[in-house]
Amino acid sequence: MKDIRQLKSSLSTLFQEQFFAVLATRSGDSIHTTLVAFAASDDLKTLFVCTPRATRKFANLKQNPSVSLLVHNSSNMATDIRQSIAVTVSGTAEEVPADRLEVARAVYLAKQPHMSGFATSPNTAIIEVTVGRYDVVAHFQDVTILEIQKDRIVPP
Amino acid sequence: MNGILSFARIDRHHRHLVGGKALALATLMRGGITVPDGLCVTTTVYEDFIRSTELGTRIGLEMGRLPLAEMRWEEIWDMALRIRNLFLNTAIPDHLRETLASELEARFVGRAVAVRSSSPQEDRAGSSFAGLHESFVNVRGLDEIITHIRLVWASLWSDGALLYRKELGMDMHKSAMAVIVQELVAGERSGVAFSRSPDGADHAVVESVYGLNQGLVDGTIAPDRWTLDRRTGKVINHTPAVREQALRPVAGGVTSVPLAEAERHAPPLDEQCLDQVFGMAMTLEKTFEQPQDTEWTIRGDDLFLLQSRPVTTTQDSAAEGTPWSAGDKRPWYLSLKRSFDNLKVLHRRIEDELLPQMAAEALALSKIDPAGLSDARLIETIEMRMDIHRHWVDVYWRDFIPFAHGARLFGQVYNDLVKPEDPYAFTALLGETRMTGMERNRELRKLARMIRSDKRLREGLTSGETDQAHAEFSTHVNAFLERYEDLTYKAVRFFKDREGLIRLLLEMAEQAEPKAAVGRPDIAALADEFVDRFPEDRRAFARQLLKIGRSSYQLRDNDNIVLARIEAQLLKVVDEAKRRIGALDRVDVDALTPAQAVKILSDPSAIPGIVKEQAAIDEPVQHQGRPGLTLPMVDTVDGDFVMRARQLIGQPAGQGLAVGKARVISAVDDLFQFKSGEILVCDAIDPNMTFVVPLAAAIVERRGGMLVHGAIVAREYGLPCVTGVADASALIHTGDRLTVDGYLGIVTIDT
Repeated sequence: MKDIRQLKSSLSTLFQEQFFAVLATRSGDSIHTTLVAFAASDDLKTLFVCTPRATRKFANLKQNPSVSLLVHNSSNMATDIRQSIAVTVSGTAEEVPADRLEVARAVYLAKQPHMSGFATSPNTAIIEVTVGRYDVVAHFQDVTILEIQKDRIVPP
Repeated sequence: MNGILSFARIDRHHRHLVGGKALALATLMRGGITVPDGLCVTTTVYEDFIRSTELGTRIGLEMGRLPLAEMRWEEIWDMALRIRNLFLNTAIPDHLRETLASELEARFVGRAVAVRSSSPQEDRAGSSFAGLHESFVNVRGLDEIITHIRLVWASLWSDGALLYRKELGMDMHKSAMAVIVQELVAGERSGVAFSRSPDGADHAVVESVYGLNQGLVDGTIAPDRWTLDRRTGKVINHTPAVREQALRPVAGGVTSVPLAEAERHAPPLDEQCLDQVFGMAMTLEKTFEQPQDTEWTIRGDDLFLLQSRPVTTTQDSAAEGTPWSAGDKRPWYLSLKRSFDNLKVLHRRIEDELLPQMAAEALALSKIDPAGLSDARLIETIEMRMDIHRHWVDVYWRDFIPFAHGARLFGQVYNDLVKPEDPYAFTALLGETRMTGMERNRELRKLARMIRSDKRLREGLTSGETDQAHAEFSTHVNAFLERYEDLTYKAVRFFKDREGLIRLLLEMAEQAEPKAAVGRPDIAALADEFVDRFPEDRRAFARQLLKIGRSSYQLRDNDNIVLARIEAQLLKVVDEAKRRIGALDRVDVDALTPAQAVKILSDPSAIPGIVKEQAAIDEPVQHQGRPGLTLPMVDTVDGDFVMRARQLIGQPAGQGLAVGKARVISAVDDLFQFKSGEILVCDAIDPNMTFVVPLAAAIVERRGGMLVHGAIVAREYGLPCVTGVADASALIHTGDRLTVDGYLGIVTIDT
């Protein structure tokens, strides 16, 4: 990646283009992965997913909020290994509290409008993942880390 | 259709299958023009080949390594070389071989043929591809013809063709190649004809040589040239050539042979033949309704048309300065391909004239003591040396860089012949070279050995004594400095600082067993094996090519060093000027360019102007001509987002695995801080800095290519090396812990 803005812009594009991510949650020593429809906030600091509360992933993330997601644009071709981009997202998951629910749902449905029935169902929780870092893999082995440093003093 | 069409069966609907060249020949044959008969192996055969062998996928993987726009010309060449090797090492599947065999054997058994490219993207107005795809003449026998068909296919992915397609915005993965196989007409006289001059002038041009026209087309054999009135065919001007050689077919290819005495004194075309050629060019223009660029040959009384394509008008690049001073130098680099004969001439010129002249010039300049010059003489001397330096920088670009193609040409011939799995196996044969840099490194090791074996000396120097306190050692240091005082890096002389040298020697002395160049294969045996693969009458060519390859490989080190000697003589007088100028308010005297130093020394009122000039540039020390020495800048912070590299990919250029701390070289000081076991990270290894290599555990270089200095020197010492790591020197920081995987070309940064 040539520079940080270019990297962020390619992440934004990837998150707009890809509907699905693989979400990894953990219970004790077991890792559990599931395919989820997701959306990302414009500032790339938060990812949103929806899940019924009775699922294993929901139980896991309640127990251990450290989660990881994999988003990629591979199309199952041999040449993807060089051409595709894959992003591992590491972050902390929690159910969106009621006072921010509407905003979160709007972001999610703007990307996944066909999921409106699912996202508004009473037993569905909207989960927000606060991103700690991205590991971006391009050209097969080119790995760049994009970290969000909350304690960094940002000049105005 | 089985994928093969004879000329007689080709019509305009087949254009996408046969390409422009084959369609033009078929059309003309039908129109009554004499064309050597032949057939076209259409694009469907090419597509079947790359699909059924999975070659298309492997090409996709190669192409996906880096975006083409981010590649240096040497990386593009390397990639093209690897793809060419894939074509050479991928067997033709049986079903395709059977198809080709039945058609080719029926038509060409026992006869010599020409195998020519005919890409559907070629020869359209605005995209001529002239000379970018390969053609071969005098090929005999089924196996040879099939091998050459593969080589023509591979040329679709040649460095020049890739860059050209990119510039025209063509999709490389959708391109395909048709191949013409045609009876070889070994003409006694050949040439080209433009029905309208390619420089835009309103006249026709005919050029002609004795023998085959390959020599004319690749620029090795100078042609007679006629300009003619387009309406009447009347000769306006005839420029005779110095006629010495002709290209003629021999077993396994073509070779240049001396002309007979009578031929030397007579132009290849008489008036009647000239008329005939001109007439054909004008007929072709009429047929295709646009000016044509044609190749032809004459055997006996028969004029044969070899090919015809639209004229593309040339640009006058000289109008915008030298082509090597342009912003994007890659098109120029790719135009540097030289034929064998051309390289032979260049080889003699460089070895016998230019390098000795440069060395003599540097030596003569070193005799003058700048301290003894008056201010006026010093100014004159600086200006004179600036001119001398500029002259040699131009020679470097004009003659030395093109000669670097010698090693590549050798590599290509070697790969075509030996078909090795490793496309870089040929570098083993080039390795037996005496590079000036290596000699200097040996001298340094000798000094380090003195420190290692003499406890008193070691302890004295470690505790801060000057080397002068140790007479014998000091004499050796003086001798070293006298011989190598003229090393430079980024326009700074290395050994201005004697303490730096001693520090480096102490560091080298700490290594128990200094790394020496690793054991190499038996090069003499490899060379013999290479030469023996040629038929008897081609062995002299093979030996000469090996010689040129070696000289070219060696020159990649030595030319920089000799050029640095000239540069050092310029810097020496500039340093004297800076000493006389002394400290100045608001001017960084150390960073003054030679021209600025001259200005201030001759007229102190120039100072305010210089202050402004220095403020206007970020990096005041401007390097004066050698390529690749500016450090890239990369933005890594945006608000509370911070980016860092975790793993970088490049090209595996030296096998092995190493873990160690990074030492990023951006100035002379960094070199003298180098600690044993560190990993050398730099933008581009300059041969002048290779003396720290024996201390390094591995090399990481931004500049890519298997034949760049970093790769050459890493192989000499058996070090893991990764080249072509984009932004290596910006994304890696001194002290970072790195793992360098020289097998896969991966650099991992501990985070």
